Parts: sequence; C-alpha cells; structure tokens
Amino acid sequence: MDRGDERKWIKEARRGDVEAFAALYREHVQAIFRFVYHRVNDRAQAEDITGDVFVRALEALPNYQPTEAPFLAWLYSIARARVIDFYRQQGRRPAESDVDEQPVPVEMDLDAPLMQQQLVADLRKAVANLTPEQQQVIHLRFVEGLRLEEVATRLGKNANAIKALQHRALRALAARLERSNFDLESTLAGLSS
Amino acid sequence: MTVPPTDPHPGDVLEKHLPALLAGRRTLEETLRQSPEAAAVQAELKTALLVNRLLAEMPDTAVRDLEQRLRARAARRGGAGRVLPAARRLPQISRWAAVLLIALFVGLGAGGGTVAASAGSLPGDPLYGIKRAWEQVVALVATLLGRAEDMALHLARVRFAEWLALNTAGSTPAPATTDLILALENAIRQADSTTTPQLVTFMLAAENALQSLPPAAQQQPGYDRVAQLLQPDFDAQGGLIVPLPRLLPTPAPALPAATATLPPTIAPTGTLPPTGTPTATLPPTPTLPPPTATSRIPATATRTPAAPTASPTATLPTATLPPPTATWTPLPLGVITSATPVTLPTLGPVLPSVTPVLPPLEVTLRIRETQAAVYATQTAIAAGTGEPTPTPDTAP
Repeated sequence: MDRGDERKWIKEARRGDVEAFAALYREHVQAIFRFVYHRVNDRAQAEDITGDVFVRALEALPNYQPTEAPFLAWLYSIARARVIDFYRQQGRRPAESDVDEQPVPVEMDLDAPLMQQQLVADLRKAVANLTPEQQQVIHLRFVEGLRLEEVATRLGKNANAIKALQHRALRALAARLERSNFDLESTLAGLSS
Repeated sequence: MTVPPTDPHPGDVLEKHLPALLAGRRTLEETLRQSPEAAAVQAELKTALLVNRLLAEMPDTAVRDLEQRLRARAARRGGAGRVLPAARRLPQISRWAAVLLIALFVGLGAGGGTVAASAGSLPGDPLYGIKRAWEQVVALVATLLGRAEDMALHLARVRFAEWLALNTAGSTPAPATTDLILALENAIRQADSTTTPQLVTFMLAAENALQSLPPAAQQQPGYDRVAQLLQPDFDAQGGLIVPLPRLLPTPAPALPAATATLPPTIAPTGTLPPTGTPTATLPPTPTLPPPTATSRIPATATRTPAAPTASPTATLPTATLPPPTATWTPLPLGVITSATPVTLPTLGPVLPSVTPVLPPLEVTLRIRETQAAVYATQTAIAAGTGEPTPTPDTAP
C-alpha cells in the first residue's frame, strides 16, 4: 500500500467504510504486533495489546488528522501508550528499553520504523536463500513462535531431528548474514536499547 | 574401560538456551556468562533472537479473529470511525451555531478585564475563583443552548491542563485532582455522538501526557483514578462509560477517623425504616479512592446534623438522585461489620424531637444520598456480593 492508497483508505475509513479500516488493519497489524511483542516479550500479551490498539484506533479515527507522517506512526503512538499501561498494571515501571522514556510526537517518530523496515527486508532476503526445509523451521519456530515439539508435530518429524535442523538453519542464516555484511551485533544492540 | 565424555551436540546446547532467551527471561550476556558451553552456538543464538524480534508475526488465526471483532465493533457503531448513538439536534438552533455562541461567550470572558486576567490562573491563584465563576456562567449558557456536552468536554480539557501544569510545577493540591476527576466523569457521561470522538482523542493524548509526569506525581492520591478515566471504556452500543473505581487494597486504616464523625449524621435520619443497623455502615466511605469519594461523603457527615428530622421523607425527590453505583461500589464488606454498633443508642432519644418543617432541598438531597448509601450497602450485604444495587423507586 503506497501513501496515496493509504490516504484514500483513511479517508474512507473515517467516513465509516469498514472495508477501508480492515485494509488499514491488515496492512499494519503485524508491524504493531512486533512493536508490542518486542517490548512485552510475551506473545499472548502482545496479541491482546495489539487488539486493544486497533480498537482504540477505530474509536479515535474520526478525529485523526492525516499529516505527513504515515498512519503507522499514529498507531505506534497508541501502541506505546498501551505498552506503558501494561507495565503500570503489572505494578512496575517500564525500563527505557521497553518503551521510549518520553512520548515522542508522531512526526518525530519516523526514522526508527523506516530503518527497521530495511533490516526486515534484508533479513527476509537472507531467509529466502535457505533450503525450503530450513525456511520452514525458521518460520514456525521464530516467526510464529511455536515450541520445538509443536514444530516437530507440524512437520511430522521427531524433536531431535528438528533440533538438528534448527541448528543447521540458524548456522546457515548466520553465515549468510555475515557474508552480506549485515551488522548483527549493532542491530541486536539497537533492538534492546 | 571408561568411555570419555562426549561434547553435547550443538543442536542440544542451542535448544537448551533458546526458550529462556526468546521469552526474555535471560539475556544473551547472562546466558554466555552462566553457561560457557553456549559460546559454541553464540552466532546461532544471536541469529535466532534477531529473527524472532524482527520477523515475529501474530498467527493468522489471531489476525482473522481480531479482524472479525473489529468489524463487529465497527458495525455496531454503524461503520469504522463513526459513533452512532442518535445525534441530538436542537430544533431552534444548529449545533455549530450553538458551539459558536459558546465559544463567543468564552471569548467574551477572555477579552474583558478581571475575567480575562483570570483565564490563565491555576487552582490556588487569587483570580482562580473568578475563572471558575465565569465558567459557571458559560456552562449555563451552554446548557440553555442544549450543548452541555460541549461545555463538559471543554471543562475536562481545562481541568486537565491545570492539573498537568500544577504537577509539572511540582505541586498538586488534592482539590485540583478531585475537580479533574469530576470534570472527566461529567464529560464522559455527557458525551454524545459528536463529542465522543473528540473526547476519546483528548483522552488518548492526555494519557500519553501522563507518562511525562515525575514518579512522585504518579504516587499522589487520585492519580490512579485519573489514569483510569483517561482510558476510554465503551458499552455494547459504543457509548463511552465511566469505569467503576477500583477497590483500594487496604481500607481498614481509614476506619477510626470516619467513625468519630458518625453520631451526628445518624440523628436526623432516625426515621429511616431499617436504618438502625445499616446507617452505621457509613464509615467505609473514606475508603473510596481519594479524592472523589472524600469530596462527597465527609460533606454529608458534617452537614446533616443541621437538618431537621427525616419524618417528611415522603417528599424526597427520588428522580434527582445521583446514580449510587459509581460512588458506593467499593465498600468492602469486612469493614462494615466492625462499625455496626457505633450509633444505635442515639436513635431513640432523637425521634421525639421531630419537627414537621420540611428540610431545604439541598439538605433533603444529602439525606437522600445517605439513604441511598445505606440501602446499597444493605443490599450488598444481603446479596453477599459487596456490589450495591440501585435504590428502589419508593422512598421510605
């Protein structure tokens, strides 16, 4: 979806078009999920919070004023507030690594997601160069978040075979990333700071 | 002959450490420090972490389920982004004309003399009373024009700005928090199809602003209630609702102070039918989240002694009662029992002094509030749920 399409969907969603809102949701749900998951480290909680973000977006949409910033930036600002609320309900304050220490105006919040999009694209490209079997195990285990035994059941293999396959897949992926000069260290550091 | 120990398979080492790493229970550094054998699979662990963080996805089923829920929610409201509960239109004057008039009236205040000077004042400033008085005038105009909800939204914004400014300056008097809570509750109750989206947007922005407050401000009494009210809560029809206050974890310490003020309260309400025992259930009132509750209940306790006795209760205007559930819900059952015997002996002697003079309306309302609290508490005790139920329509 390019910016022109997005503006069109937003305009129609604000007029009450459910399909337009659904299109915006499908376009951004995974990005919001990852944003939340990265901060709460719990898939089930991340799914709940993601749902909450879109419910609130739906309610607040009539007053959303399109700016130069993408719609996703607005969703991020809602998601950040929900993550902070999650930590408040847990009775603890989020560490600065969990959420940004201060709410950032939407317009200023663009660089990080854009840079992350590039990293994601590079990583996907590296995964796509693995064997189909290795891609499968990487996807089930680390993208969908299944446990080892669940992956084994899904692929009709035993757990030991999956352990070995998983190891080979990760080793091959690490080597590919290194060959393509993917800066693994600083990317990980950036994700945790 | 002994078999030399073999190194564990790297696949096993990897799997041994992956779950804790992926769930965030242990960092990579901790893993390497505590388990030296993990160094052999360090690159694989890092890669796994990277893929998990950058490519993690919500499962398709969850994505579809959520989409269905959002569609259903949007449909209930008549479409995405729309809030449909019937829009109220004045027959004589359009909404925009009304809003314009209100804005003009607010502007008049900002443009003239002392009122203008008071516009930026904060609670505690000498001119703040003038600011509030002018607000009352504008609120009256708004009500006459049928746009009380716009004014309620405006006042919620103003109270929040004041509260935030005080907090930022390092001090927040409790009355400012109380005023903010009341303004937010009022704005939520009054919100209609037009003001709901504006209010929700304001709430989201305000809730974001809360995060910038210093930790000390977040510990103040009433902060939790403010934060709770700023999270939009909706009913099945998509209308905004005021969330019930959360129970305080330790209500007991508040009891003694409240018990001391009870006897005078009970005297004038002596004619309430089942009052003997239940009127003594008032002590838990201070356990309501400050400052919302304390602003009302103590006032009842100190002022009711001046009221004549309650024999003419049949004239009490039941229709004007405030909804009791929001105010009295948090009463904990355990506290009630201990306070029961306090005031019973004073009931008898007071009854003969009943005078046939009707109490002024304000006093009558306060008596009625007391009755409502008593009834709600009784009902809660009887039901064993701790949840008060609304007062019956028939006044005793």
